[in-house]
Formats: sequence, C-alpha cells, structure tokens
Amino acid sequence: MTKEQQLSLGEVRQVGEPMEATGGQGLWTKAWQRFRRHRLAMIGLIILVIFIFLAIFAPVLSPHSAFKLDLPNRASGPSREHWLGTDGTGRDIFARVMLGGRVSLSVGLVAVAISTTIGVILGGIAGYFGGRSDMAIMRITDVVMTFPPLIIIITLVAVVGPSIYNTMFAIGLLSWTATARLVRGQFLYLRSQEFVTAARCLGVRDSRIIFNHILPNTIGPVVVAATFGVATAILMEAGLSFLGLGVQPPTPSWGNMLRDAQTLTILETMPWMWVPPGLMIVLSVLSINFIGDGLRDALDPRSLL
Amino acid sequence: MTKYVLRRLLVSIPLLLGITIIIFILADAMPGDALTAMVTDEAPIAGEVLAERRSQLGLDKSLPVRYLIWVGQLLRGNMGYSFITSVPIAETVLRRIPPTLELMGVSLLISIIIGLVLGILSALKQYSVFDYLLTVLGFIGLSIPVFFLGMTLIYIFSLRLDWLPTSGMGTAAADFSLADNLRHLILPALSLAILRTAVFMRYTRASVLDVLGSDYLRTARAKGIKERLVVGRHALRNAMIPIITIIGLNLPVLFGGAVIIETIFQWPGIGLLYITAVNQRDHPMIMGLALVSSIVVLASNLLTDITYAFADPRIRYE
Amino acid sequence: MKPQRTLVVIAILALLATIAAGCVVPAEPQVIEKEVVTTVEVEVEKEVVVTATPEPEPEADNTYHEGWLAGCAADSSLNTTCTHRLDITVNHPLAAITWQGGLQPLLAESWEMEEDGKVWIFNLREGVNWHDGEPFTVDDVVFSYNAYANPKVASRWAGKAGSITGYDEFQAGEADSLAGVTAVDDMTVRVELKEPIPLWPNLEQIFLVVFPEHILGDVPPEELMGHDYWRNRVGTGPFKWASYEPDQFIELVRNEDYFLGAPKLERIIYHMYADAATHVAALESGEIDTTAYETTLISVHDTDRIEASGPIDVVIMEKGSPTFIRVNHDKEWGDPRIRQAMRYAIDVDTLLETVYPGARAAYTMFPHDWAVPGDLNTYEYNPDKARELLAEAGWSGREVDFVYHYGDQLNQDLIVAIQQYLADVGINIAPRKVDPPTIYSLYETGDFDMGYFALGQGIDPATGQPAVQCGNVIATNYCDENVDALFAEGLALSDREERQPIYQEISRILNEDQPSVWLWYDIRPLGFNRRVSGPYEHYSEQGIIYFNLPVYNEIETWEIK
Repeated sequence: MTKEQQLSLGEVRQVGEPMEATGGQGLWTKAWQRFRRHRLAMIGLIILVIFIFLAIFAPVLSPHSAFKLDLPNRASGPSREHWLGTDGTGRDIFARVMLGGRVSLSVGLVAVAISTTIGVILGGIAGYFGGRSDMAIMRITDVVMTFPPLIIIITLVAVVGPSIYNTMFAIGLLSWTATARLVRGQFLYLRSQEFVTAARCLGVRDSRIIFNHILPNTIGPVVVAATFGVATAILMEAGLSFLGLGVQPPTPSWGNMLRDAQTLTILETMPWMWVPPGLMIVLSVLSINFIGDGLRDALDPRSLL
Repeated sequence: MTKYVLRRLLVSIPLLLGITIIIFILADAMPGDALTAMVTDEAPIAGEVLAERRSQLGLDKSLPVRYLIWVGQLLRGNMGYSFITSVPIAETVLRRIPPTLELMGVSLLISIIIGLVLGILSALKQYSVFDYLLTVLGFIGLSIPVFFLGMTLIYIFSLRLDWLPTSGMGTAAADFSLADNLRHLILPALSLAILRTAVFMRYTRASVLDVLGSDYLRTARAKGIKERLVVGRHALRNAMIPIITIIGLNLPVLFGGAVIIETIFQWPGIGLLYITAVNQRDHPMIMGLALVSSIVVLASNLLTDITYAFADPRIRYE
Repeated sequence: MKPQRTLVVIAILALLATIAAGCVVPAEPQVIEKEVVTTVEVEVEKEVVVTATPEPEPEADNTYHEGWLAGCAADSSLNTTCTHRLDITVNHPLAAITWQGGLQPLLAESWEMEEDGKVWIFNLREGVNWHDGEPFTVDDVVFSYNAYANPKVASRWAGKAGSITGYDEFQAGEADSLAGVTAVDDMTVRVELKEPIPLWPNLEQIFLVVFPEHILGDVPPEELMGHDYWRNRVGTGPFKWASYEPDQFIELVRNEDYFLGAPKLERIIYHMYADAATHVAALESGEIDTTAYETTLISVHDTDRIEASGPIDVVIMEKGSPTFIRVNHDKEWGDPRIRQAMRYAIDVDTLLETVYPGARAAYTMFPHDWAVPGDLNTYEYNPDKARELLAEAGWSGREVDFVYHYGDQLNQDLIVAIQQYLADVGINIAPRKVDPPTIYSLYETGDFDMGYFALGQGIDPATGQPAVQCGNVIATNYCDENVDALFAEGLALSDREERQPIYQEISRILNEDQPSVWLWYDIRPLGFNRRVSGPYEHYSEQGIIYFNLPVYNEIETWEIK
C-alpha cells in the first residue's frame, strides 16, 4: 500500500475520541490540506471556478449579445466574428453558452442546496430519534416521493409561469427524499455504533453527538448525493427544456440549447450548436463530482489526526 | 418486526387517501380541462357542446363531489373510464405494465450489475489508472441528458449503421418474437442504463471505500485473514446498506417508466401514458396512474426498510 | 451471513421474475378475425385491371407504411382532428373532396340540387356492403347525420351539420332528431338546408362521415364517441380494419370487394410517433414511406438532407394557413393602431428570406390567390412608423403575455425573432409555451393577451370565418358586422367569379384592420419514399393541405413498385 492509501484507510484512530481537532490546526484547515492533495478534485474545483466566473461576467466577456439577432448570418459555423458560430436566428453561440451557464449552474446549485438541507434535517431527525418522529417523517417522505414530478412541475409551471426560480424551487422541493432516506439510513446505522453509546454514557448532549460525531461520518454519502443532485438538477433542467417546460426562450440555458440538436439536420451538420452546451454540461457535472469525491476524502474524520 | 410491518400497512391507507386527494386537487388546478384539450382553431367547439360534454364527464360537479365519486367507484373495484377514449382505466394501465417492466427492469438490471462490479473494482484499486478511467467515463455517462443520448443512439445505430430499428416495441403488425422484441429494446434500455450505471458505480465505490477503512477490517487483516475474505466477507456486507437504499429508491421507477425515453422511442409504457394523460387533462387516467404508482412507492419503501433490518441486525425498529 | 445473502438472492430473483413477466407476457395486439361474408362478385363498371406483376413479390412487401401522430389514437370521426385518413380508407362520406379540389362520389353516386341549393337529393350507391357483410342503406346515412347533430353526442363537428333544417331545434332539445335529413327510399336521402347554399356538398357535407347504423344504432348517444367501434371500425372503404395496438400502430388490410375496385396494396400500417425527430428518422431509415401531414415534422431546412439520405422525395406543400398573432380585442389591442404597429415592426421579408425560405408574406387572412386583391397594404418594415402609431395609441409599455404551442425549431426561431422586433419598438412580450388545453382556458377566463397561431383554410376562404366572426370565441372579442355579412353573402353563391369580389373585399378590410396580425402563409414539407407509387404524385398535385377532413386521392390505385 502506498502512503496515500494507508492514510486514507485511517491508520491512526482511537475509539471514543471526540472529533474536534486537538490543538494546532483546525478541522477545516486539515480538511483543506487533504483536499488539495486530491488531484482530480483540484482540477474540478478550478474548472468550476472558471465556469462560475464565466457565468457571472458573461455579458462582458463577449463582444456579442446573447440576444441580438443576426438573421443573414444564421446557422453559420465558427468564424472570427462568431467564435462558436451562430444559431438558428443568428445569435452568437459563445455568448449564449456563457449566459446559459448562469441559468444551468444556478438551477443546479440552488435546487440542491434546498434539497440537501431539507433532506439532511429530516433524515437526521428520523434516523437519530427514531420512533414516532421516524415514522412521521418517513411517511411524509413517502408522500412526497409518490408525487409524480411531472404533474407537480407542469402544474406549477402552468399556474405561476415557467421561470428559472420556479424550476429551481420545484426541483429542490421534489428531490430531498433521496437524501433524507440516505441520511436516515446512515444515522440509524451510526446511532448503534459503540462510540455513540459511549458518548451517551458520558452524558454528552444529543446535539453535540449529532453535530460532532454522527454528522461528520454522514458527510461522505451526503456529499456524494449532493454532487449527484447538482448533476441531476442540471440534467433535469435540460429534460424539462425537451418537454418545453424549462427556461423559456430567448433566455439561453445549456439545456434548451441542447434541445436544438433534436433535429437530425442540426445533429448531423451543425455540431457547433450543440457541442458547446453539451460539453459544458459534461464538464460541469464532471468537475462537481470530482469536488464531491475530494470533499468526501478530505472530510473523512478517520484521517484527520 | 411483525408489529412494525402491520403498523406500516395500516398507516398506508390514510396515506394513500391523502396522496390521492392532493393529486386530485393538483390535477384540477392545471389550467384547462379535457374539453379545452380538444379545441383547435379549425374546430372551435361551440359552448353548448362543451357544456354538454362536461356534464357527461361529470366535470360540472364540484371538486369534493367528484373526488368522492371517484373513491366510491374505486371501492367498488372500478378505476373509471378515460375522458378521451372511454376505455376503462384499469385495462389501459394493466396493458402498459409489461412493457414498462421490461424496459425499466432490463435497464435497471444492466446498470446494477455493471455498476456494482465496476464500483467494487474501482474501490479496491483506488487511485489507480483503472479507477481514474472508470471515474471519468462514469461521469461522462452521467452527464449526458437522456433525450440527447436517445437521439444520438438512434442516429448512430438506426440511421448510420442501420443495425437496429428506430422505435416501437416490435415490428408493427408482425407476430410476436422475442428476438424482434429484444432488438427494439436495446436502444431505449441502453440509454437508460448508461445513466444509471454511473450512479450505481459511484455509490458502490464510495460505500466500499468508507467501509475499507474500518477498524474491524484492520483487525481482520491483523488476524491474518486473507484479503479476499476480508473484502468479501466483511467489507462488502457492510457496504451494502447505502447500496440497498439506492436500489430501493429505484424500485418505484420500475413501474413509473421513463417519460422522455418512452416518448423518443415510442415505447408503450406507463411514462408515455402519463404524459399523454397530463397533456389531455384526462383526470381519471391521471388518478389511476397516481394511485398505482403511489402503491408501488409505498410498497417498495416498506420492502427496503425491512431489508435494512435483515442486513444489519443492529438496526432496530421500535 | 445466510439471512442477508438469501435476501439479496431473493431480491435479485424477484427482479428477474418481474422482468421475465414483462418479456413473456407481451400485450397481445387486438387482432380481430372478421367473418367476411363473401358475396358474389358484383359487376363493377370501372375496369379492374389485373396487372401481372413483373416478378413475384413476397406478400409482406406489399405493405404501405404511413406515419401517424401518437396523440391521435383511434379517435372517433365525430371528434377527431387528426384521424381523417381513416375516414377515407375505412369509412367514407357521401362524397369526398379530391386531391384536385373537386368532389368524388363515394357512398353517393350522384346528387341533385333543388331550389337553388336549399334541398339536396343524394342517390346512394347500390350494392355496397359494410366490411362485415351487411348492406349499406339510407338508414346509415340518416343515423350518421343525426349523430353529428345530436347535442347528447357532443361532437365537435356538429357545426358542419349546422346548415341543415332542424339543427337548432335538435340542439336546443326541442326536437329529438334532425328534421332536415330524411330517407326518400332505401337508396335515396334528402337533405334540406335552412338556406340555399349551392356549395354545401363541397364545403360542409365533406366533413360528415357515414358509419354503420346496424352496429351503433342502439348505442346511447353519450357513449357514441367513446364506443369500441372506433378501435375496430367496420366501414365501406378500400381497406378493412385488421388490428390496433395503442400507441404503436393501426393495421388495415385490403377490401377485395371495394366498389371502386380492389386496391393494389395488400396492407396499410399507420405507425404512431410521439416525437417528431423519431418520426423523421423512421422515414430516413425506411420504416415508414410517408410522414404525417397533420403537423410540422420536416423543416424547410431539412429537405435537402432528407432527400439525400435515401430514395426519398420531399414535396413542399402549402399549408393553406396564415400564421398570425391573435390578440385579445378587449385589451389594449382593441385599438387597430397597435395592431398595425406590430405588423410594421416585424421585418417579415427578411425573416422569410433567412429563416423560412419558401413561405410567402401574408397581409390578410386568405391563402387563396383568387381571394386576395393585388392592392393591399404590404406593411413594409418600418419600426419608426410603428413607434409613431404606438405613441398615438398611448401604448403603456407593459409586459405582454405571449402564448404559443408549437414546439418545433422553426417556429421557436420565428418567435424569438418576433420578440426581438417587437422589443425594438417598445412592445415587450414574454413568450410562454403552453399546451393546448391551457390556451383555450385563457380564452374562457379572458386572461389571454396575445398568441401565435395558424388556421388551416385550404378548402375555401369561407372556412376562415370563425377567426373573425362576431361572438366566436377564437375571434377573441373582435366584431365587425360588415365582415360577417360579406361572409354570409359569399356562402350563398356558387360561382367563383361571383364570389371573388366579395372575398377580396373582406381581404381589404382585414388587411386594413389587422384584427389578427397576419404574418406569412406556411409551407409544410412532406416526405415520400420512392418505393411507393401514388402518394408522391397525388400530394404533389394537391399542392395544398386540407385539414380536418378525408381527402380522396385514389389510394386504391397506389402500389409498391
């Protein structure tokens, strides 16, 4: 085994050890150091930061507007004038891809933030306290899970209008169930571990046990779930665009730009229209997932000492 | 345990009622109804005709009354008739279940098997080239929007290579043959499987990695037990919990179908039925499908929870 | 160890079992073996040419495949907007419009007009049998026409029987049948209209399909549209219903006893598609020979590539409809200046040149050349004038809700362009894709602002009336009694020479007033595989699409080459 592997396997560990850092560097600094060692995660972080930067400064970065039509030059390939070519009405693809990043990334991040928060809270309560709260929360989860997402989204969209905020909200409110059940499963398992029993015997408060002992051990799967969630949310937005429910034109999103490729002609002869948004989706999802990986390794409490 | 299961089953009934009420309200809240769904510019239906048909379908009654009528029918074993085709709902839904199970089941099976295997291998060989390669490939598979994947597969395999048919469940009007059916199944199942394999692979890998660092494994190794047994007997078993969760989460999907794939590949499953019903505001159909899928979700959640208890005897249900 | 392992094994087995269940128990297509009572060959006037096929073709090859829209299912003729091909292959009206715009006698061999078009006597064709062997009689015609008009049936096409005497009483519940349709004898039916309409057979009769009284006669009217008959039709047409698999296909087989001669084709299969791209892919891969005409599938930019992809010919048909922006006259756009401003603001010519080559600009409602005078205002692109008009009208600049339901790429692009043009002059629209049920409910609640629509009027300008008719819901609160009077005049005449000035006058009024902002006349490419002879030739000649009704195009002569 290499040194890295040894460390990740948790060479040094003591039972019942409180999980706060003992002297010297803080928990998070240690975590950051570990994260930095994870090559793929760093690459992912860099890519994501670049994308976020591009998304924020989108209007400034391109000489063209994402909305201005240029009908005579419609559907033309990359050129000096339009770096990534133009779409069906002559709008600059490069500008649209960057502006589309705003929509797609924010939908992903916000939706997942909502769903992870709700999921961790509810799943944690259910898993830790068990009994009636578990029953109640799990039944609520069941109810939400049974809702056909499509109906909810269509109704929402029909009643309040298809906007990016409603999309984020709807996706977030519908996706917390997976996280909740995952967290609950972990809490159920960890609750019965020796170190928790020990801590309880020592009289440690419930909240302390949860936050300092159990939660760090749950972060692994939750982070993985969250990173999947971002990816899923971004893809869900694309899927909604396919069904006509997503972000409405003329606002670009990677999802609705990809939808252009649904005509075989564009798919076959005009790759500049769909490769850029497709590539952006893939790269974002990739980098977010690498970051997730890195976070899981970095926050693995067994290797923090 | 038995008491727990019984309690769960009892609770399911009011739960189902609650779910159906909420969905009934939501379906009603959608703008328009089955009648406005039929109107087109070239055939603007006269107001009197609309009113007559609405009253025939019972749409002129108030929401609570309609709901109670629906429940009453249900208790007598009748799920109602489609507003659009007048065909009994139960008959229509039942016909769509076998194709749905076939599509979702096969794609799920492929993705579970490949995902588990690759995930375990990936975890065991963490940080190797193999691991990196699988990670990247897995994520690429995960990042492609499914409608795009579907279209691309049709483009490559049906149009360019001419190996496989574009759509449908079998050659039209031909006698059923398993080979023909499977030929039509490949592309849609593949589209779905590619996405899910990556999910299973990542979860398995993460879970196994978590477990590989445990104390008791170190103890086992220190005891001199062969690595193979350490991994096989001890590690994998405990890594199963999140994996069971994920499989359990996917069980409802077996019955729910995949709307986008079914639309693209014209696969006559529940997903396609659902979106058609929503577009046509076919309330009985929406309710029938919602009921069936709710039952499936509740049942599979119960199954997953029971499996938890078996997999880890320390998990107790009070 | 054991319990867990067992459980996992059980779970996997259960999974496999469910999948196996899915595979082994396929949904059986509803194959109905019909007992066709073989009658003695009836002497047919038309010569049945028995062509000796050059080489023995395997039976299976003599099948013609057409694309079909999944949302259409096997609708009832009483209710459908997209199942009309079945109303010419399986069922029939008395006489159908032909691909050349004429009238083909089908179930009626001939007809006479009395009282300048107030009374019509139809002589039914002798010796015609339904596909189940029962004879076709006048009872079927009376029954069918009554079904259309019966308020309890609630057919959407009831209005096509609206000119028949007794219709209003029947609809109001004062009568329990349609007084104007009577059986003179076994083979003759008499139709009396409220007023003389010399073109009645050409304009309204063609929508009324005949179905069998001996099967549907006892069905309660509320259940007529939803009856199982429509999923297993018995008709009089060249093809018999063979099987139907929901969301997959409809299969028809040759009717040897067809009164115009046994068809050359052995089978027709209508393949259903929910997704436009898959539909076109099926054409390219050879799975279907013809694409559906009821919706846009092939864009004008795709035609070259599709023709190059195989033995496929593309015909660019006139859609026979203008695309327009419909506005709610109860709101700000009740002021014609705003509507005119909108038309001036949109550079239709550049749009058509770049995004929609082949379509022509529209300045008024009618797509027919003869109904449109040459001296209309062409609303040359003039954003300044638009702004002027808007200022005059006191336009507030509020955000406007703009609905549309077309999902194809071409219309998306056009709408994006329209939004830009309107924004340039200060009208900010927020385009919103909605599904059809929502649109109508917007009319009902009055929340409708404006929207993007097209109205097929291929047959005759008279069919465009509802869009500008006082009190009609799709006219969205527009009313000009002058226009209504002119339309009524035009309907009462039969000679095109006489009708022309009337419709041209209507054109002028609509051009000036722009009750809807007329944009362009659509074109719709259709794809045909060269292995079939018949569809390509007939559709090319037809040139313009006729929506919502069966079109006779000699399908009994089509064959696989």
